[in-house]
Amino acid sequence: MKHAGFWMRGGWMHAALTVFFKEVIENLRDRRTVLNALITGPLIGPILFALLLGVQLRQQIEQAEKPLPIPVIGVRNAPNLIAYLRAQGLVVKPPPQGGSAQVAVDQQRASVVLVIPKRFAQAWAQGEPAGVELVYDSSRHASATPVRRLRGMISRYASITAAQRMLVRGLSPTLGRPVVVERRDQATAQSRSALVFSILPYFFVLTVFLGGMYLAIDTTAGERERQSLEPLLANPVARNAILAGKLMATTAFALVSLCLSILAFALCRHHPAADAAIDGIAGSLADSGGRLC
Amino acid sequence: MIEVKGLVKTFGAVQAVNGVTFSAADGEITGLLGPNGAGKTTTLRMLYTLMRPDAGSVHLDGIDAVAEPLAARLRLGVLPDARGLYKRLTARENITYFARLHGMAVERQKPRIDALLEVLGMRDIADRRAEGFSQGQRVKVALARALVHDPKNLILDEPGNGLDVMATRALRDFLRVLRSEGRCVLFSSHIMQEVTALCDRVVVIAQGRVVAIGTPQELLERTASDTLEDAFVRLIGTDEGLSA
Repeated sequence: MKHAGFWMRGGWMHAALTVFFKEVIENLRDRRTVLNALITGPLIGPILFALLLGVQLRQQIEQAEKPLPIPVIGVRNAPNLIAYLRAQGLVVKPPPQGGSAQVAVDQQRASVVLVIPKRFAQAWAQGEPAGVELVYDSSRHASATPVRRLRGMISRYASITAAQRMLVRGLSPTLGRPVVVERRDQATAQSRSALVFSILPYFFVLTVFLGGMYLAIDTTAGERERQSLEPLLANPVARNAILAGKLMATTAFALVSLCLSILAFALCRHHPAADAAIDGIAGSLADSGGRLC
Repeated sequence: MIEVKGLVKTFGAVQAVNGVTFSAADGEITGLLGPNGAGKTTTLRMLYTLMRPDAGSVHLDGIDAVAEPLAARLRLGVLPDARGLYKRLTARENITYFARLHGMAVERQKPRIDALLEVLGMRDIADRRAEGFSQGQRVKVALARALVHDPKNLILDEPGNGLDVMATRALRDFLRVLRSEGRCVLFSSHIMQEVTALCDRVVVIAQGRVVAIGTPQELLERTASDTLEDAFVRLIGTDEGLSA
């Protein structure tokens, strides 16, 4: 290759860099690419993340001790239970029209209906298990929180009553609880936010993809579409040098996009609302993990 | 100086080029004349090393273009059939890009590009983005970037395509200037007037084979025709004409 001496002496790198700079300049002049790589791409992660935080926060607030309005059928059958539930924040609403809990839930007039049957009082008096019914549709998202809260209230009432009955019979209430589980959560604020931010890599992958995608298409298929590939390949440059230059340009855009995204997340993280929201998410993640075990 | 011997290229069952042999001398304009689908573009693509021939050889100033494509391309200016520009770059930037890819020294680039802009009469569009250029303006930019490294040999695939009368005249004048500078100019065409007006030698190609080579005058005499168009039709027209 005596004629191609120039290309043996660093010409390959020169050609790749020439292609690189040309692609960068050309694509910086394209509003669509700049918008995708440098604005939409880096911001989509933080925005999605903020929306997720918002949803979580709203659920947290719903779960807090705010009044829980629930229609109850058979209020008179268990006055003590109702009194306890009221003290816990239950707002007793009148039975649904027509008197059928099933129909009310099916027609979405109530997310959950508490039914206290007539035999409740009798079973209670005889010390037999006294049943109440929660009528709900678990496929509906809105029912999950009220059902969980109502079940919690009722089972607390049941354990208090159990303890009182044992005391009346001269037994220690602890007899009814042979094994006690104590949860010692070692999580710190940092480890909780680490749990939340463990989903960040997926956002970063998305950002890198969005940042580099348009260049990857434009510099390869676009070159052919614009009919500029043939003149380009007529230059005394190895094809892999051209490809390397285009790859470098694509990578550069993807990396800039990634850096901007990291920066945007870092700014997000220092927003005062972020800490509370992160604790909330981490708490519910830990809870769901606990329930799975 | 371009020398082609026994060039063959097959695409599947299609024999696009079937033993093409000719040469184009320095200081001459050689026309590759043939009907649509005769194999002109395929032949030229093998000359400027975009494709490897299945058989045969191409020599540019004595360099084997098949074995040393990079060295061959250094001595070659190409205006391919596809002559797309980068629309977001200016005319000057389009030309500079190719100058850099040719490894031209930085201090040589600007004077050379300025000279080309002057000769091609495109000073007014030099610093405008190529988006929205007319067909003629695009051909000028494509020509300038093909010539930026001052190549000895020039290959043009249907350069007159899509040009109006004024642009065609300007192009012809420019090709004559290149000839007078002693370059080897090879262009393909299916337009008779273009060939008659310009060529020192004509290579007539049909169905992937060379059917005649000579000056326009020689071709007229050989076929006993009054116009080159008649000569062309006789040379390639019918199967009888080919076998005769």
